[in-house]
Amino acid sequence: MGENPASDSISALCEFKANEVGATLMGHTIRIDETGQFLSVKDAIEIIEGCTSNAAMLRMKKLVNDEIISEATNPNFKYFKYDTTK
Amino acid sequence: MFFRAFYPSRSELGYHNACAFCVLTCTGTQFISAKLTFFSTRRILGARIAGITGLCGNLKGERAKAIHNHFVQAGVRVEAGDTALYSVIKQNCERVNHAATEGDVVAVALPGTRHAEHDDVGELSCAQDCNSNRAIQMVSNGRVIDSCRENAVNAPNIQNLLNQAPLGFTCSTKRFKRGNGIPLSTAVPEYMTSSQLSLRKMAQQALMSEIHRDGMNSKQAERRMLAIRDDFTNFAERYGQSGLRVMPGGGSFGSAVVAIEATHQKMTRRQLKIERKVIASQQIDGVDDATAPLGC
Repeated sequence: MGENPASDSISALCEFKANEVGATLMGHTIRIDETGQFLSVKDAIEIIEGCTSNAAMLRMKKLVNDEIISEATNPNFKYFKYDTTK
Repeated sequence: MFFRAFYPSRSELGYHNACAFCVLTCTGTQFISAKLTFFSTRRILGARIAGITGLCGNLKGERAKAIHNHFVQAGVRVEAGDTALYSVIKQNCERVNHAATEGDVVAVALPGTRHAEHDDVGELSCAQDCNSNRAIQMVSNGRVIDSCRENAVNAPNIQNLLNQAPLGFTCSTKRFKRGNGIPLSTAVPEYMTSSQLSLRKMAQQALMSEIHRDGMNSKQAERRMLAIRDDFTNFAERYGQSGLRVMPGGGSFGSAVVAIEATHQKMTRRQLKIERKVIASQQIDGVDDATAPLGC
């Protein structure tokens, strides 16, 4: 997670931990891509806001529609493939 | 006989284009089972940890707010090159290593400066960009002052609001300078980063276009400038560009970028001088060889 200089302290604040098995954010499991760089935005919203999965999905869609987050313009956000058979 | 298949909804599948197929087993008229098999992967919108923390500004809840505040503060410390931060030390170290490998003498000579991707000064191109923004902003500022005089608008008030827009303070510029240890004789834009200078420039242009278009009087112009200031302050805060940032030694960005460009120019001149000497000596050697008598 050394991409952003602030990410070390941010990781500590978010209680983000990643290892070979998986990753956790504030003690909750979060989906992560194979390289360990990208966390699921929906899961993160769900954990940080403490809302349901559906509410998190709606919130994420709203953020995408409002163009606050998008894959094309912000390199911080990117779609990744997640193996569902794990 | 009818078939009935249960497909997962888009929300259950993740975000886009999940691949699934349905295996149906039917005997006679009775529907027995529907089994979904995923043989591919889901596409999930992901973000780096920095992206998630940046996103917290748009999320609800105390935790999101705390993370966002911390993110902004950490960002400010990184911008200021706080050497107490491990990441800044690491970043500087990487930069010097890279510069040494690439033979970038200026970069090696300035190990305290920061990385181009994250900072406004440090790399020569960033310093040039910042300097260019400073120059354009100064010219644009002159035009704003002239326009204010032509339209009998209170120019100092407008300047005050223009300073407030990117930095996010609400007191007078003088008080802001005193509170932050900025010399009273130094203009506040000297302490703005390249992004903040751009915001100030945009605010100036927004005001100028409206003054000329609508022929505003003094009060209307100030009211409009207040609205522009609020818009730009919100924008700067939302994207982490707000707040005063200073160089590690406490100096301004303006003086830092001028120093970097000056150092580079000096190095370039020195390099050119060396090259000219080498070329000249080669020419002299060539002449000597040509004129040397046989047998010498």
